[in-house]
Amino acid sequence: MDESEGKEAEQVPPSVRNPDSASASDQDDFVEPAPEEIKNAVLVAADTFEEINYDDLVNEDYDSHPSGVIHAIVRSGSQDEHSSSEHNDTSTGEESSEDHNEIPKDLSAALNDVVLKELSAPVEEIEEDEYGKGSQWRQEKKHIFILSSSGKPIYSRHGQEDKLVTIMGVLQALISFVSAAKDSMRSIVAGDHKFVFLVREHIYLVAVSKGLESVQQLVLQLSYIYNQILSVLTFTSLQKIFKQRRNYDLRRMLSGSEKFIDNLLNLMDHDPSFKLQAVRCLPLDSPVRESIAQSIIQHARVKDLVFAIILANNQLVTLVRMKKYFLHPMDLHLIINLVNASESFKAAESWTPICLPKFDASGFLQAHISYLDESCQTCMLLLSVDRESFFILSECKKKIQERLIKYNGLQAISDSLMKTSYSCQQCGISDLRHFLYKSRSMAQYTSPELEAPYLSDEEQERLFGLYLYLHNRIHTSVRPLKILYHVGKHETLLGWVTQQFELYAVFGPLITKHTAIGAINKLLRWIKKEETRLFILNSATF
Amino acid sequence: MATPGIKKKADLKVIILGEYSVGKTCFVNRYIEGKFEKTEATIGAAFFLKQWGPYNVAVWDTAGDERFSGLSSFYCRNAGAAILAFDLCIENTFETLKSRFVPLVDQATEDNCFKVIVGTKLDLLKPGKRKVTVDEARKYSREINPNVEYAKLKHDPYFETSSLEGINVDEVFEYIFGHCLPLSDVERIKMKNKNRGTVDLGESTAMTPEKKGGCC
Repeated sequence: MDESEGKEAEQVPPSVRNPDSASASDQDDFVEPAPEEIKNAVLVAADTFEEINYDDLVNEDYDSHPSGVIHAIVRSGSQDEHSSSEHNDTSTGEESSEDHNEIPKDLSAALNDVVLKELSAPVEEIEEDEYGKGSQWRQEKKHIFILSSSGKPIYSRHGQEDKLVTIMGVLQALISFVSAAKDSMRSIVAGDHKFVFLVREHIYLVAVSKGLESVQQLVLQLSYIYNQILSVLTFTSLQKIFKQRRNYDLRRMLSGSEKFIDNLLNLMDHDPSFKLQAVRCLPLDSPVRESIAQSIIQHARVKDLVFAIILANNQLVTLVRMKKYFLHPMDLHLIINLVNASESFKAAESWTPICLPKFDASGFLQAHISYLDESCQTCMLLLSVDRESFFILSECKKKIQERLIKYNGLQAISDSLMKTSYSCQQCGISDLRHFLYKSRSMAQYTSPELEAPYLSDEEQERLFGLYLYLHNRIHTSVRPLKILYHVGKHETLLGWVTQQFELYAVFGPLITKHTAIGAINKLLRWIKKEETRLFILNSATF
Repeated sequence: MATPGIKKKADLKVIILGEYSVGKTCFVNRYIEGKFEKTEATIGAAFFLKQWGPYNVAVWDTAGDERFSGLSSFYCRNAGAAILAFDLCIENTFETLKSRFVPLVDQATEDNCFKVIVGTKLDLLKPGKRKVTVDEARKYSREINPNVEYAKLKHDPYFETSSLEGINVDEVFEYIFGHCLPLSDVERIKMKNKNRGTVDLGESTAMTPEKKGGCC
């Protein structure tokens, strides 16, 4: 499904630009490069934010198609004895029967009342220890609540979820009240707070934020968290659990995996790759990267091995995949989160099941996870559909490791990690402070190091907020933009989206529109020149 | 990092099972690394190789969370010995051994697996707080190994250990190896010297490798 979506998106004829009024007069200066054909992408050409489509995300069935890919691989391997997934009835496409109309005004006002009473009640009404954290709890910037459709608490980002039964109850009541009217709850804005709802078949996810994220961006975050839960349980077993007992306490099955949700939320708060739906690659000269990939291809020719991935410091070093199958950036983000959140892989080779919901929500892949270097910076994951292949993969790992040491692959990786990516000055553009560049067809992005004035945590958070704003203005479903030029108090922002790329640039406040445009064109040329180092252009396959 | 360069197939597979957070990883770490470290929750299962005299021993450290029980058939298969760990301070963890882990091992290994019950966190056990009596645990450890000849063993397959203080950890493994991979006297001495990294001249070659009386 995702592949076809990606292709469709590429075939859309270049539409007439819809420039923001501020940049209308200058649009001729933007030279939009012709879209390139990418024949051999590493990742699924990602849904960009608008292609993900808000309506799809809030549709209950969107994420829940068990695609049975794992089954197909196992079958084609003619070795059916250890099938790692149970086959599931495939659900029938997307349902659009649900009416996603906005909630009528008076109802929304009534709801606000209820929620405000509960969540903005005066401090003294709520006992200090009721939430485990007292009034501090109230001050948190972003709350995430997960509950089962019967209202049982599953997770709360702050406080103890079992102490929050009343709030979970209110949220459940709100959702079911609205759905009883054949409508669905999307969001409520109350004062500074946004309440955003994501309703899935058995699980409700709610974000309450007073941060800068838009409703759409919060929905995306919720859907990441939902996928994180699936990656632990699979959709099939989630469904089975709740079919057997509607009021099952899911915390039991998720025990030990709360930290992955916590970590994912923290990552999403400061890492742009999630909202961009793109992965960042470790800068490496392309022959070096090529040789690393070759090491894997030569020594990991194992039946049933679907993906081999090397990560370093949350960046992708290389990805080798089975010819027929692609990895979705969302799945790769979950893998990165798994490695990022856990120290336990550093101790020994590990063998663990992981479900990649975009790849196949119905079953587990088995992951052989190990670090390749003594300092535990370079992590390799071998993902197979064969539950028994640990020792085969362990052998592969040894050979790959030997080869990477022999041909200095590991050295190159650690050198690149030491060098701290690249400075914005290297692009040779004065007044350019920072940028994010995403190649849409490759689902990869690049950005320079954070430098002055973005060194303190507050400043970095402010910069991240600027990107959120820019990203949201451009991708808002109400009125998507192609180009946005925004003069702010402390910096000038320029966002530009074409068929080929998304670019978000931050300049000093005094730059003129004319220089900014010149700078952007220069930047694009620089990126083109550095392309082979910053991105993985050709994907390696087994 | 895993032990490099060992290609031979392992001669014995030892698995460690038990409820979430009873200290399985700390226990394995104490044995493999010889020191105590705070560890994070294990994800799935982790694999270690250890040399025991001429033998290779594979040790599988497993995650106790219920969600990983799907993996158990993989790591239990052909296991020669299972260390069944419970927290001496929490009665429940002993009960789950009975209800969940012992049946699991029996099913996967067709009763051919030597099962050793290990109580962990002895250092945290305050006087009078004991929930599982030594007798009860010893009796149970006998029950679950019906095919073992106890005459050949020094004591019942039950230990009380502390990974923090290094009490009885190596003993558990040595007890298991003694049962599953008996060494000749020559090998035993060779190994002892190798482990110390020196040639031991002081001790007589006809030493008796008697160890302290286990737990009880």
